[in-house]
Amino acid sequence: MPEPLEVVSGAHAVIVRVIGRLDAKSVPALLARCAEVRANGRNLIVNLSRVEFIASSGVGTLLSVAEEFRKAGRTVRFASPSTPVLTVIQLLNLEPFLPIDANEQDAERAIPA
Amino acid sequence: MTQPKGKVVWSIRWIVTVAAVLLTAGAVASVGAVAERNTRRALTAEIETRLLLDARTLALASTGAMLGDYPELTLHPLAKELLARQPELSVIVVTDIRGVVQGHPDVRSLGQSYAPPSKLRPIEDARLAQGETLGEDGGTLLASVPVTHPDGRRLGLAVVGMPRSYLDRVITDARRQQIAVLALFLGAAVLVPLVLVSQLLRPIATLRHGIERIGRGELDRPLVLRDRTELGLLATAINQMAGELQQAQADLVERERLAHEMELAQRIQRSLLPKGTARAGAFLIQGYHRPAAEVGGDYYDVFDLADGRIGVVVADVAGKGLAGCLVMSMVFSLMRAYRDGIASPASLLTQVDRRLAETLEPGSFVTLFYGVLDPNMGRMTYASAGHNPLVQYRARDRSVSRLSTRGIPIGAIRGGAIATTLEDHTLQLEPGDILVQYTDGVNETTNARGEQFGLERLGSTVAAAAAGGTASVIDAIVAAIATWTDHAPPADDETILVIAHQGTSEGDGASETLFSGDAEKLLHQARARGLAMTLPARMDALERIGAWLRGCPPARMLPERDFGLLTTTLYEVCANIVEHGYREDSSRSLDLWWVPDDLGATLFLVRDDGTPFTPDAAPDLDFGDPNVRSKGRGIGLQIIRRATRQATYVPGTREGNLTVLRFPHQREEA
Repeated sequence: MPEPLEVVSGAHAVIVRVIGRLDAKSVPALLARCAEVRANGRNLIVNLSRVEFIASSGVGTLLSVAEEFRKAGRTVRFASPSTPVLTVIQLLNLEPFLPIDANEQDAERAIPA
Repeated sequence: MTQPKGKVVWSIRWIVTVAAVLLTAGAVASVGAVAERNTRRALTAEIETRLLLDARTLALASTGAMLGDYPELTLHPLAKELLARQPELSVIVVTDIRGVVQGHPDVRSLGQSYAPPSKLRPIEDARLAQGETLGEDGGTLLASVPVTHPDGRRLGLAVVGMPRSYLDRVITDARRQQIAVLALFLGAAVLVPLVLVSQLLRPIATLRHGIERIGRGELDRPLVLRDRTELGLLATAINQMAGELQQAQADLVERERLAHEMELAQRIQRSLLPKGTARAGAFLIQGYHRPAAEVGGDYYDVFDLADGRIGVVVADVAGKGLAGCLVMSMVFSLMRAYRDGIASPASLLTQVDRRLAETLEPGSFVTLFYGVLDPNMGRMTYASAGHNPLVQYRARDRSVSRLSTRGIPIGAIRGGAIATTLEDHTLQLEPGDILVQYTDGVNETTNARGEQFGLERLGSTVAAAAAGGTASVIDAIVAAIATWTDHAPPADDETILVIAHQGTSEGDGASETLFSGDAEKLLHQARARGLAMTLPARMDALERIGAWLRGCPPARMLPERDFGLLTTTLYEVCANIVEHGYREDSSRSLDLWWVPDDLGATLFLVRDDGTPFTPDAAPDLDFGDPNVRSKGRGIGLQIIRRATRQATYVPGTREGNLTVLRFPHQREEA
């Protein structure tokens, strides 16, 4: 089983890559990592390209992370969501609240320096 | 008198008789024994005294003779006379001082010597004077008295004797009398109880015959018994009991007759209700009726009108039982009689009021909702005669409103006053809109604390289930009421009518009807033809859903995006059950089926034995609200609602809780 999270540091943001399932089991680790990034005052890119399955808890986490960063005056972008993730986002009409980019580079570019 | 086979019956008559005989015999025998002893003692004493007196008299009478020269000449006749007077005496002897017999009844004994027996057993007695003896010898009682000169000189001895057998003979005579008395008493002891008890027990035969008659069910012939004993009282009690039995029997027959009529009435009532689901253009109309134990006056009706319009009726007759049922049937007939002639619902109801007022009992009335649906125009015109507000769900803004009218109930005020209160209202309906009409049994049903289910709760239940269509709405309301009342049987009829604008007039052939019985049928279908997976009630076990789904025929044909959504939706449904129904008890399990659906949808069924829970009836989330986004909760339900065409949780069926999920084959592009 692959590690659920890969964390790399980008130019303007910390990039967190979620791998495999995004459900109640994997959510706490993601939340902890995002909170750490926010506490360090950095911006965040969540790469969702390798998410094979997303549950409602995963969607809820993406929404609350976005909201927490907004409140903290930081930026969070979601890069290349996989089909399952994108389908749910579209089903719930969440695009206005989850800024999506085609890939990590686009996301980096979208973050104000 | 018949006697039960193989059972020995003890005759009271003979028991009493034998007891009386034994007692009498015992009493007479013991009294006789005591009496005989006393008699023997008294007779002995009397005879001894008599002997002594005889001896004394003889001695006294002999004194003179003994002083003469030939005493025997005087004493022989004297002795003879004494014997003649008392023949029972066996010894009469007078001797001189030398012991020579001077006096004796028998002449031959004179001049012979005589001495009283030396071995005489003396009888001590206070009656004896100086020189006198009294004794018994070989069965003879003897008394001897000395013959004395007036100067005290002894001249001889007078002896008188008697055989003891004389005494025994006298006693035997006395005993014979006693035995005669005893026999007399014994005879009486047999006869008296026999006659008396027979006489007293004669009513028992009458009582017995009477009770046997009651046993055979002949309760109308009273028991005639003129008896002043307790048996007479018993007869009165039996007659009373028979009377009460007769009354109870009559009551029972009446109750059974009424129950039968009630059943008939319920059957008639049920037969008047429309079957299944009506489809008219883009509209789907579905009803639900659950009668209370007593036949009630609820009814709903759906009928065709001219130009493809549809009439819908929901009514509640005040008053239950046969009367309510009859009024209901009248309303049913009147509505159908006027439906084609009168286009305006308000006018039609006015007309129904006019006709019904003629027959309605004072104080009884009917609340009635009548709507005319025009599927082509997507419009419904309705009037309500004092009926519950219409619940309207609007898909556009997911709002729920309750539409009330001023109409008063039919029959409430006689004389056509209703006409001024009734008016037609028109609603324009859009795709996804839902109208719900119902009776008091729904919104006024109370929980254990006496709180009503209420219109607020009804509205939110409708809103939560609206996306699933008519069946989903009905099932949600029914489930919510079941939870509210803790599955108690309904106190009042529950009637629900749901009209849903499906959006497309063609539809895709999917059936929307679903009652708990239908859910069970689906389960049988799933077991027979479906593809199953059993999952332990553990969150991480739900990860297997995706792999299982890949093996299900329709899922294999789905584009990747729909497959992902299907996996997520099934996961959410199962997670809900694991969390709320099982509280993550991994020793339990739930079953998931893909069911081939002839009607074109992708159908899944979930079965669980967990605690039934109330599905979240919250309205749709507004993600525009930062607080909603920040909490990130309640999203599972949103996914289920939006991804499925129907998601119905049917708790507490005979097979456990069933969740029916229908997905459209091809999702429309968002």
